[in-house]
Amino acid sequence: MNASPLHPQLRPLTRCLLHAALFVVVLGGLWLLGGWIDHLPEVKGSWLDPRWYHLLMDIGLAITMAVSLNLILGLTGQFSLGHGGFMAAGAYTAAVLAGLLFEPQLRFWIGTVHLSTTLAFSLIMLTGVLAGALLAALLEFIVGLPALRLRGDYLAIATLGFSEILVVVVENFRVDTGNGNQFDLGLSTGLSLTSTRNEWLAIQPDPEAPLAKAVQAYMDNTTYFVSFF
Amino acid sequence: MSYLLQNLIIALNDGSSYALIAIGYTMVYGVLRLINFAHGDVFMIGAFIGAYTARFINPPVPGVVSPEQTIWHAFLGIVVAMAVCGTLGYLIERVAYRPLRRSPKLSALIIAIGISLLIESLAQFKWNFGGLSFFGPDPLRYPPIAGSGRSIEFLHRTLGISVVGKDLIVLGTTFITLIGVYLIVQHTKTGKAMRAVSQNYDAARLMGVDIDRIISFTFVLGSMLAAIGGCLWGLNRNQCTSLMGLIPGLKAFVAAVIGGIGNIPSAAVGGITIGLLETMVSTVQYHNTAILSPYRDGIAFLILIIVLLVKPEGIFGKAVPEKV
Repeated sequence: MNASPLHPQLRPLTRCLLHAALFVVVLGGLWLLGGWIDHLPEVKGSWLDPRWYHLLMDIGLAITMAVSLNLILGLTGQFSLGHGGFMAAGAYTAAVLAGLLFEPQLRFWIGTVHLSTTLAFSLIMLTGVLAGALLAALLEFIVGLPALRLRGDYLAIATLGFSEILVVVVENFRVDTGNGNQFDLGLSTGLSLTSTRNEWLAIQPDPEAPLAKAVQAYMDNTTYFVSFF
Repeated sequence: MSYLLQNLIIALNDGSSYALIAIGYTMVYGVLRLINFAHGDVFMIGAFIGAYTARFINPPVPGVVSPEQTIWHAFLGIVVAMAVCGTLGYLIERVAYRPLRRSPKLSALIIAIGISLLIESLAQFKWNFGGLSFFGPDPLRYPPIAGSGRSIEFLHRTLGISVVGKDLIVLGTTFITLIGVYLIVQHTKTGKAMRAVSQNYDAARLMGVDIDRIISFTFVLGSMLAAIGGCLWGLNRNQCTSLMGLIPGLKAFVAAVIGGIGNIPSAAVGGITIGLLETMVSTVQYHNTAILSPYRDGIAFLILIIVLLVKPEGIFGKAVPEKV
């Protein structure tokens, strides 16, 4: 493996953390920028055709997945068939945060911190994405502890097994949310994501806002990936 | 007691299909060291062909709920499915795997996943020929064998379990098929060549074994077994869907790994084991609810991971030291 062109003198872990921080800053900046541009009255909802939004979201997702798989496959040479499972873990975490904890978060950002609605929405989505990334990383670490004793085909099968187990657990995950309500992850995460979107649309009267499309694309592709991997 | 026996019957029913698919996986892995992910989809195609043959012989009448077939028609359906799937298996090997035989193992694995997705996607599409439509996203009814849903009176009276005719058909067909495969692999010249190739690919070629022919034969035999498994699965559940190959295929692969991949009898035992364990887990009762039964699809993979960590060569496999 060649040294990274960025700060080759740093230790690998430090460099990794630095890159992660850079990633977070750039990602957050883009999200905030996207929300802000979309909020401007002169460009609102008119700067890109909805079809292109959707296509771009799909392209972005494919790029993200390909790059992340390339990290594992290209650098270590080990084939992980469980990648879809970890994508699902991230997506479901984001969905739970944006769905179950939508109101408290909104109240915090708007009521306590006094941000604008757009910023608050961007931050809720960003929190979800970061938390999803962290949880998926944690899961992968836990899975890796035993699974990385295997190599080659056997590692591929073991990771596939972990991701199937993850799918089954997600399908059967239920939480009592108090006052007799149940939150059923397998059944209603799609609902909670859509309801977030709908609540949002109720406030922001633009059905084709980029973040709304992002939620949609995220959701569509999660099911796609989970069902095929 | 009768509860246990009843679940044993259910387990054997599922396990026999897993065993039939697992043998295909294990033979291909033995010969080529390749996980043939398309195998589960060959299983699905087999079930569909069986159903379409039955519907062609005995067209469904509008207004009649269940057009049934005789046992001979079901047998004919299995034979046609075996022929079609054997051809499909040959084509998959010829078109997708043979050109990549000398390339890195990873390319072959990715191609296998690609073929699997391709067959699934094509089967989800509705194909129209001459006013009839084939495949498609909707489940297709597999015509049951006439009278096969009747419980056998004697067993019901003495043991208190319900064994229906189709259980016997499924178990009997599986048993006969397994014996047939065992005979082919152990007592024919082609079977001997297959075993030679799986022991040492290059040495077998130097000894004059026609590698291409043996590999094609392995694929054809494996796909035929998958077709039998698919038809039995369809006869058992009276339904086939275009994504039905995915989970049984993966579980059968798990069964092959658990038994010790590359070895045919142990793949059969692994398949039965997976069926038994799944059913055992689904019947665990707590406060009169089967609490674990929603998790039954995950059990096979949990066992897989445990087996891989404790004894990666499988229950019956021989440990081969890896030369790194």
